[in-house]
Amino acid sequence: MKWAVAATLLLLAGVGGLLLAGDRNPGPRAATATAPLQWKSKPSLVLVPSLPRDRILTGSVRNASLRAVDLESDRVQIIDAAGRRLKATARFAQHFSHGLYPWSMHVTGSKFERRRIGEIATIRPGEDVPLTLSWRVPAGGSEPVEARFDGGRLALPR
Amino acid sequence: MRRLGTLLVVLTALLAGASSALAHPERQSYFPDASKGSVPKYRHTGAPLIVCKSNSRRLIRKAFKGRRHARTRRARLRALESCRFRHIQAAVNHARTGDRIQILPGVYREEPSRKIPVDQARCASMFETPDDGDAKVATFEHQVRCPNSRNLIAVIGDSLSDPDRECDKRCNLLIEGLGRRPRDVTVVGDRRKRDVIRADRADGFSLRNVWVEQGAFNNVDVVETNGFRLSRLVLPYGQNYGVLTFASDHGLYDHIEAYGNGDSGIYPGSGPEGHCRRYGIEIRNVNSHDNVLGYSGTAGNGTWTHDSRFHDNNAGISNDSFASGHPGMPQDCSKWTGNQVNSNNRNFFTNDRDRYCMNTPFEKRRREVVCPQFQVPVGTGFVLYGVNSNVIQDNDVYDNWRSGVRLFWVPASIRGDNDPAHQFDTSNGNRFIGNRMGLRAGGRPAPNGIDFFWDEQGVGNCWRGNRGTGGRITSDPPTLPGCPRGSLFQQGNLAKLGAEVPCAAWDPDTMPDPPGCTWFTTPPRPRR
Repeated sequence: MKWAVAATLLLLAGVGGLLLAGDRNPGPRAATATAPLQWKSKPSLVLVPSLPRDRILTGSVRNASLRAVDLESDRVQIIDAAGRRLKATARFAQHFSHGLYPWSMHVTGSKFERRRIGEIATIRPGEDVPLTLSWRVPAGGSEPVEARFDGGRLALPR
Repeated sequence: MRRLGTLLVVLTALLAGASSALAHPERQSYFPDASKGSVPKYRHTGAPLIVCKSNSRRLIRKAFKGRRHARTRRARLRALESCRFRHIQAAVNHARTGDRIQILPGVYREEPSRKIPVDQARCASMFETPDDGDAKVATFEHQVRCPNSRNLIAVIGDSLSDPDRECDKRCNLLIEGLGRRPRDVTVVGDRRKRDVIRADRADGFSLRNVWVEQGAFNNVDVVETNGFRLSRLVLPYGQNYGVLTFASDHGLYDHIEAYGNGDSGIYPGSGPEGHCRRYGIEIRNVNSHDNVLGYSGTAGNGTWTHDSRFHDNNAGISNDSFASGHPGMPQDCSKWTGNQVNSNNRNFFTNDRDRYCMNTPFEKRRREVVCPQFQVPVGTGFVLYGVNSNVIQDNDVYDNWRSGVRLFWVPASIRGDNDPAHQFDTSNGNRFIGNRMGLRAGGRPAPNGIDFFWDEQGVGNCWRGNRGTGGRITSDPPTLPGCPRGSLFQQGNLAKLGAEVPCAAWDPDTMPDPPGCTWFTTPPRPRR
């Protein structure tokens, strides 16, 4: 009987320990204000002479938090000083690629597919991924000041 | 112990499954045995299976009128007496290995095949889900059991009785139009079935002298086939490809005209893995024009293209290593010699066309309207992204208003290979020799926007003896490494690489005009 009680206690302690360990090492989550993103080094601004209102910014973004973050290019917003959202694109890549499916097939693509072409990325703590943003400044509008990632923010260099 | 062994086998199988990757709208495919097979010869002998239409007699007389064609006319009219089939598929179903199917003039819509639904219930379970995608693809069993569900005409050579992926029946089949020109025998797709004519593990397949149009994906599709000959074909208005060959070897494309296709006129993708020891597919006398791309080949390995024209497309020739799961990645060892690659400035990426394409499914579109399936840099001759050890020699590359040749690196991660040691394994060892850039035949200037535009990445890329307007070529970077030594390794130019990234976001619905992307605006005609 004593052995049974001891075994039960050991089992509970083990499960508790696993739960605690799990709490200390959670899975990825969306970027938040407590999971800041930073440019790894100063990104490069590419200007396109034939598109004078368009900008391309390419570099690497680092996860400065203690948690992994999941990022999705469709949810990236480029915001100007007045809080307006600019027409923009984002890719977690520094080179062109395209998916395997023509648009006409209306396939979203699996996580593997989306990750490989830079539509989504997971950044573990202290690690970085390539990021290229582009945006169009509206006529008479101002340059953007930040990129928003599901509540997280990334300052854009001026 | 036996249980442990079983467990290991199961785990190994699971791991093998996890490591395989496939997401081309084709099933997981394998190269045929390169030590076997050859390009089939054109055969004149053997009792043919004759296919005709009720108006073939009138069409024969029309096609072969006059004294000059009297002999052929009489031969065709004699053949008509032996006609037993009204539909090509019916003749294929009766064919045996080595047979010839001869088609008399007429328009072949293959009504019995059309009646078979694309989603045939009895084959609903015969799809595989790729690891890296969620568009289910038909298995080979599906092709065997429901051959006309997704193909208007299907030539399926292998059986399900053995696992060798080699042709067992209807091998060395010749399907031949008996018109004076390809147009005289026209096969019209129903715009729903993916392939109009599909040859699948049909070793020794030949298709000759026919016009095939309006495939919902491909007009002609040759898959896992060892030995094929495609000659005297006209292939317009496929939603994606005029002709696609995939994981096939020992092939010939000859005298093919392809136009109006939404991806490319011809697509020798996942080409033979000869690794520069041989060219397994020869492409000659092709005229590919007014497509989005004249030629494309993801993993377009081991092909030799010569004496062909790629003109008036949105871009001329593309070879790349973008895809995951295509056999033969990364691309290597193809050769282009003596081709004309010119005037690829047509632009299908316009706002009104985007709207029409988005709002009109393929089966309801006007036949002649081409809807781009992928984005390309309008105004470019060669688009080489992530390719190795290719030879581009003695071609005429002119009047491409953006650039004659673009050579860019693609990291291995794009094909799902994240090994750090592989990331720079593309864009190496390409040679550009003796091409005439920006000059029409006869030497009249017709400049490219820039002759060579290179991202500066890669080892062993070299240029020698290329001649441009006024004797000099234009390039970015201004100085190009010479042959044979070529370039030393350096990182790509970030500004050049970055400038292309926004184009990846192109979508005719949500992002028809991505900020920062110049690809979809026709460049101005260069003056020099």
